[in-house]
Amino acid sequence: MVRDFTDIFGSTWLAAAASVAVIMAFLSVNSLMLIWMERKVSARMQRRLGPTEHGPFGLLQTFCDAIKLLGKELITPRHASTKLYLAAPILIFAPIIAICSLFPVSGNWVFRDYDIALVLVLAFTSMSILGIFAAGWGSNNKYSLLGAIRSILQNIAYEVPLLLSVMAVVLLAGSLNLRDIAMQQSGIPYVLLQPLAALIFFVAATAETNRAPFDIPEAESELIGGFHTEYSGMRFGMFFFAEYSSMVIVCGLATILFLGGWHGPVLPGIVWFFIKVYALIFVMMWFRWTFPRLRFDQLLKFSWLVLVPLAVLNLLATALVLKLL
Amino acid sequence: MITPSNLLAYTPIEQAYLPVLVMLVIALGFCAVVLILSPLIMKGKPSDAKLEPYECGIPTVGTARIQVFVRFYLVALLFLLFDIEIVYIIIWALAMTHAENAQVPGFVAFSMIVMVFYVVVLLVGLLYEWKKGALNWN
Repeated sequence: MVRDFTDIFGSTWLAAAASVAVIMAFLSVNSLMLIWMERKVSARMQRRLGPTEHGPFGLLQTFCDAIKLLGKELITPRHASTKLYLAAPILIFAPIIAICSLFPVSGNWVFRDYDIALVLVLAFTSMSILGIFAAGWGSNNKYSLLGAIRSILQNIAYEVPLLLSVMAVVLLAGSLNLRDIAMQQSGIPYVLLQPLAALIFFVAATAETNRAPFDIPEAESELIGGFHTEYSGMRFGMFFFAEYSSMVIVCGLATILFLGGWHGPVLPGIVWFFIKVYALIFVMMWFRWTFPRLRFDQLLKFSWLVLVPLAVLNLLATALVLKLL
Repeated sequence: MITPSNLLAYTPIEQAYLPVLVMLVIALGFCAVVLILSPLIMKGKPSDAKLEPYECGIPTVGTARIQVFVRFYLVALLFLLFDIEIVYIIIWALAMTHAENAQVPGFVAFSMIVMVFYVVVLLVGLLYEWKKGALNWN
């Protein structure tokens, strides 16, 4: 049975090379388009026009920005810990490519079909914390360090409810294989069976990607750029790409776990998958212009005292209902 | 001797999970190459002022190697506890749904009771930490 790219190509190395090429092409174009989308959405919500000059609807604006970014001077601050400072963008971006290779976009469109793909995805997601701390500590800048500490604390605080809400889905599906989980939702998507888990997941995912209203790690008015204050040129570009790619990752995970992955009428599976992902991303951008930024203590309390108990109760209730019925 | 070609067929476990490692290595290499090539396009012209840490233009004061506030550690500790709980829950969730286990008499009821007990202990711990003021940042 053909289950993944490794079966299609017949060789792990060929499949890996093909996957990296596809993923990189997708991620770079996707990040540029998402930045354009973010600017357009923000503009429309504030009754402005947004980028209009380059290309139709200003579509080429971010491509020009990327080229400008490539030509920018790279500065390594004098007192920085050079190794950590240089390793940070790589540490943040590399896991994202690895995660993308595990997502079943449609049927057998996945680099490799793993039985524990969900655990691998969640493990790689937490790797970005290392990169954030390397950036914050390595820069030797007060704003970077403060941003990194806040970012890490927020990431670990919201990882717990995120994982707990995912476990409710694992109970329903009885599998950690992303393809199996999506397959089982050909009838009813899990968002209908697990509305609370889906809500908790999406809130926690918004916090994990450091997006508004959970964007204090890089609150511009207090911390300049947060943990990437000292980065310039393509090194900054890596952080920027990583930020928008991680939006795709959490929304992709939400699509597979709760919205039934590639299942949908008429259109081919891969189209449905991306429609769902981009709809979720639009909701995330909508959040940014709807909710004011939370204070830090409110943010921690909300996670530990509201989301975690709710997610635990939801998990136990799911187990009880499943076993009693 | 281990070569790339026979490593893939080494043992079943390595065969199964090596592709993820391959992927990660290729990804790391790709990012490294981009960052190494980038300075070749544009040569830097460093000056004293440029190399200073950025502090809104005023001269740098003190060091950035500050001590981390102890309250951050309390939250990190809480995270560790719950993260380990989740490792346990993953296995529990899979065992609960496994068809063979469901046929063992009393298995489901027993594992439910164990899990409820375990989670209640953790939630009481969370409540205790809250009452002690670990989550009060005022």
